[in-house]
Amino acid sequence: MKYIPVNSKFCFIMLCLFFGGMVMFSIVDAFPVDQSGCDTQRNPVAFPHEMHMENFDCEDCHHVYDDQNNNELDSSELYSGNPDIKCSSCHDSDNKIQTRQAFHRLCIGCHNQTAKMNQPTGPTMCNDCHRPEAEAPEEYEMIIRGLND
Amino acid sequence: MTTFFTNISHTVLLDFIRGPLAWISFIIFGLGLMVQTFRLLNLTQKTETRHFAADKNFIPEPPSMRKRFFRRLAFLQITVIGTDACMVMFSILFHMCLLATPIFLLGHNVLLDASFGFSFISFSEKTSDFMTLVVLMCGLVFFLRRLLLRRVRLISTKYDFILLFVAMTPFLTGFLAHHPALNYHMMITIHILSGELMLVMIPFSKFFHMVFFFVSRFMIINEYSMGHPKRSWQY
Repeated sequence: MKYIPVNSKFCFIMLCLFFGGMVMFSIVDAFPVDQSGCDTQRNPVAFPHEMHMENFDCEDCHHVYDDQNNNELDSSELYSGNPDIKCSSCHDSDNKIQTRQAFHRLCIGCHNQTAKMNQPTGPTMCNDCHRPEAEAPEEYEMIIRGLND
Repeated sequence: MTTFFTNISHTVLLDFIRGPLAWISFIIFGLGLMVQTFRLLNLTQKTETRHFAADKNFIPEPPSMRKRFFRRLAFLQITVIGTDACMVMFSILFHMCLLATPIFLLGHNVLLDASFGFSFISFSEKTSDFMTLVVLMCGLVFFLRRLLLRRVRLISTKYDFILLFVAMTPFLTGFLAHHPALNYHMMITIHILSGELMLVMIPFSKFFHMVFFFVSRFMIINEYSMGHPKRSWQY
């Protein structure tokens, strides 16, 4: 087999080029977005806050956790327009759980859990919340995702 | 049809196909890969490589790096790169995007993170869109090639077109779901179902070249093998 100048080293290099190319292709984003804070690749979500207030306690979502995961939020802080109770006031790009992660984990996580308990639940697929602008229902009073800060 | 998908997908169908059915298809995919690879290795066995005694008086001059490089380039001429370079380009692009797009898609990673608390790095959605379009365009090229080129049409069967269709459907429906031209729930349902169908089909169809490519090129001695394979078919 000596006369074929394709040896295992050469094959290894070719494979490295292919997979390295794939990884490079993956890391080097062709059309990067501004990742400072919350990126705005999709339409904002119209969040029906009142619909949730009817069925849940405020502290089910609004939280300030201590070391033992106890919610030590002072409920007197929960008034409309307080900038400190917004998710993005803690969950910013410096936090371990960033803004996008915090929203998605809270919404989709809870919707999935209630679906598992066979109870009526909210949407879990992307475009159900991130609707095209024309379809955004008007009665939803509050827009999450930091666009109206 | 539209209302059917809107109503039923929320409650039963969507929860079923993204819950138990997804697990089942992933398990079949994983077990199938293992079983088929094991079967293939059982069909082959290690053979003794023959060593010829070299003439001790003949000490060839080791070729220079430059010479070796051009020899390798010359060798590539008799491979598929030399005979159909355009197809190789399309194929490499196609496979790169086919593998990378679903793994590094933002939507998939967000759902992964919401369900299991971990995710991969993800592209911007524009990049994913572009890569999906690359996959679809390459798929169209392969389809037209099978239809128009005589030498490829001769060896094409219905099975090949079905496989191409199965591979393209998740990308087409995913693209249409992200750009909601048609009913979103219908698209996302077909998207998940076709993705699961493809996963299940991988170990039991020609899609198995995902594993077999490496086995046949690098492990089994044949006229297309590369490197120094040690195994041969058991007869």
